[in-house]
Amino acid sequence: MNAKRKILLTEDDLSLMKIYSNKLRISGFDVSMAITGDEALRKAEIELPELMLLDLILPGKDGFLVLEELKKNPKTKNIPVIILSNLGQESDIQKGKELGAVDYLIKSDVSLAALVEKVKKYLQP
Amino acid sequence: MWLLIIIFSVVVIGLFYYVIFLKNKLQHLREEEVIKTEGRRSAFISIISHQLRTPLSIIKGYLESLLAEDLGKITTGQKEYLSEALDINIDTVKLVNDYLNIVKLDSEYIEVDPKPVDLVSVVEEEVHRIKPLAKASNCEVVFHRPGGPIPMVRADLIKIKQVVQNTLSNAIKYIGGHGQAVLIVENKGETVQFSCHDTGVGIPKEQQSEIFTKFFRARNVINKNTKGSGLGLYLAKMIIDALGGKIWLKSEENKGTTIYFELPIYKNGKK
Repeated sequence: MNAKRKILLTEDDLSLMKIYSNKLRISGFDVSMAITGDEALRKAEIELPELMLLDLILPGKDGFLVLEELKKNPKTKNIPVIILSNLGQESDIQKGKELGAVDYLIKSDVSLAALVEKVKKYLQP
Repeated sequence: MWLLIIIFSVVVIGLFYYVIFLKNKLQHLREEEVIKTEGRRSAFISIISHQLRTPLSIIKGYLESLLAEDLGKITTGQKEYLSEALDINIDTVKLVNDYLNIVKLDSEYIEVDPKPVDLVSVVEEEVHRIKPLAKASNCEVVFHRPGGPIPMVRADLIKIKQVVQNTLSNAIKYIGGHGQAVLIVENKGETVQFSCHDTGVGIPKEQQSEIFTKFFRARNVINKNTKGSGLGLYLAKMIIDALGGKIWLKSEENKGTTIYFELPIYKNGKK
């Protein structure tokens, strides 16, 4: 049996954390979770997930800062990061992409099924 | 005498530079005020986005999980109730998005970033995206692909997608069941024309001139379908105007509506 692919989900809302982690697990992924920006950075470096889902408004370091630090760190810079946020101004989307996010999803617009599809799309084969 | 002329000249030149200095200072203050206002507007949008969208995302996530039977089998009756709640959730998300757009665009003009855009691909993508909604409403969406090549238009990709999306979702909404929406993209020489014809309820003749105004809802739908915000076509017109295009409609009550817009073709170097 193939090993499950590890996703690191960073989300500070516990309801959304439950919803997303449950859906990803049901879809066959190994899900690791972080609530704060610092926790996300720490887990990314130790666990080296194959993909990250990153919220922007987080306690402590915000998602943009986390993304910037991930991309500066040689150990984590190649992990594809999908921003999953409810901020959706063009300036946010642009900033996210400039900092190296592979995609930018707005939570209220994306369905759980579409989210799983995106995760599959950006996981390197 | 010469001394007087020299003093006078120095005073005049001094005054001239002082006026220029004051003018620049005023301009600078105005620019600062605009930046401050934009900053406040942007912060306001971020807060509202987060506060309104988060609970909607949670409800949506729970409903989708239940409907996908991730937590166990559900009965047909339960499925019906949950689907209805999810539809309302999706409509509310759209309303919030429309309102946020209005706050964003509530200035004298809307900022666009015109680049070459392939309108045919935009329409194809939006038709693909809306298919599930059309199917759920028993309505058919047909895109007649143009026979010949269509030149790139001068448009802002994100915003033009929104215009096509708003037009198409209006068509499906006002067909209100069995019917058809037909989309055409045509090369008109200097411009490319898009049209979306629907077999919907149409717009009363006396109200057609108001269709692109803020919060407009036609009298023949206002009581039947209360889900619209009356902002979709208002936004569409703002965007098309800002891109130097034109938007208009033809409609007959109980027969249907066609929304047209045209955009200039993209010419290299021309702003």
